[in-house]
Amino acid sequence: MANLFCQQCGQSCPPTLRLCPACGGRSLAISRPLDQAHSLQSSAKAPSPSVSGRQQPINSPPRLPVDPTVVGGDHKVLAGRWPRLFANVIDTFLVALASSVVSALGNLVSTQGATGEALYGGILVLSSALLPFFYFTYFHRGPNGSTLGKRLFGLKVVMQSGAGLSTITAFVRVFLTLIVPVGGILVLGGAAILPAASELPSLQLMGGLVAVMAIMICLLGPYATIFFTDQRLSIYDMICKTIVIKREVA
Amino acid sequence: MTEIDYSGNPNQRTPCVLVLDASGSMDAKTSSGKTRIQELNEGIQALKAELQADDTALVRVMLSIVIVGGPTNDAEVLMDWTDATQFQPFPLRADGTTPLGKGLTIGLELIEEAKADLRANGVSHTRPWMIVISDGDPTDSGDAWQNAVLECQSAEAQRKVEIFSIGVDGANLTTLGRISQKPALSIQSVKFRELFVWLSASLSAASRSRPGDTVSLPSTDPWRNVGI
Repeated sequence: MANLFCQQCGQSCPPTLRLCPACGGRSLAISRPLDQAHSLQSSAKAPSPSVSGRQQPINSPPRLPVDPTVVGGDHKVLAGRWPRLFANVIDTFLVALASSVVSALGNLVSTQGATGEALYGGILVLSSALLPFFYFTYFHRGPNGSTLGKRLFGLKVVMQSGAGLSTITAFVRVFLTLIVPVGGILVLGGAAILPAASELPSLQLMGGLVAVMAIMICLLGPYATIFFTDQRLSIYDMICKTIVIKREVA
Repeated sequence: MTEIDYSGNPNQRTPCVLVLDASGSMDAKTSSGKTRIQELNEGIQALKAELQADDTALVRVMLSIVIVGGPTNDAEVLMDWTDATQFQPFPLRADGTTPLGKGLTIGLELIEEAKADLRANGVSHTRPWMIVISDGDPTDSGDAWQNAVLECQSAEAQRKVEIFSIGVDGANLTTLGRISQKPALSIQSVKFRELFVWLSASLSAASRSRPGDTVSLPSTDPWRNVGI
């Protein structure tokens, strides 16, 4: 088992300690305290003076243990940001593919008169709206906590307490991830409609830019926090008290 | 309480709680030029080395540490139950007072927890030990010390635990001796290393025995000033 670090004084402590023997600090984590990590990073980035006084670059700066974290008392490894992104891309692709298949099948049915049209409408709702809810809720709930995309990258979603997501939490999480961007796009994008509908090219351009920015903000904004929080939490993770980690235990 | 993976090591266990005084007086210098706490830290290192060298003790001894005084100026569990294979020494820092009574009560609770945990996992164990090392008089408020003494006496009389009390460099042996049926031993802090080597050898002997056996412990001559 890897040693822990006192978040108060930076002392390295065996993992079986309840508190730091040096300062009495009770917050022990597998990563170094932030100020110590920063000073290490700074010293790694700073050129080191050679014996002759000339400065030499450091070829391989020390790798800091920023990935590990403690979830529910156990040591876990945080999911990387890029793997999370690619896993989401794959999941989105899979859902879109499934939706397309279902829609295509529905299209075949729609040729069967008025009943077929109504059925097709229902299938469209099912494929475009309900399928993503079903997919993400089904795969995120429980101890596995992995969609197909996340499995590919060895990731999973768990509660910050370490437990698996309940069906309700998994549903709320996917609800937020789908509804917040859609709602935001509708509101912000709507604000861009007026100038875009103008006959003036400059206003049309401005409207288009605002619409694109609105979409980007709504889609990526809630995820931006994973770059600024220690545990790489998106807004949805913060609300639902979840965390994305690697499936293998450190 | 840390979960010990008994499935990977189903050997019988000999649990041992170390109740260590890390009060401010442990910062006093010894004749070697080191402080008492430095000597104690080196003793803990020696315990680790000795356990590592003994294959049987390594897989059968489990340790826990209660600190008395120290940076939090309180008595509390510093190290959860840990198999000797996983035990890693760490430096203690001397500070604060000596709420030894509270430390003893916590030590007894830890022992009961360990026994329950071992039972629940179907692992047999020998009688647990509690080693109490202090260099001063207890500073507990109210009846905490008196109650702890009664608890210790009762637990030892009921054969729930074997208690060894060790006074360092002129500690009040009469006071310390009240917690066990055996008189407290006196030790010079420069001999902490020898004490922990003895402890390792004794734990090794105990861990080789079967529950209920009587064990002959190694002689305490290398470190003791008074006999048992």
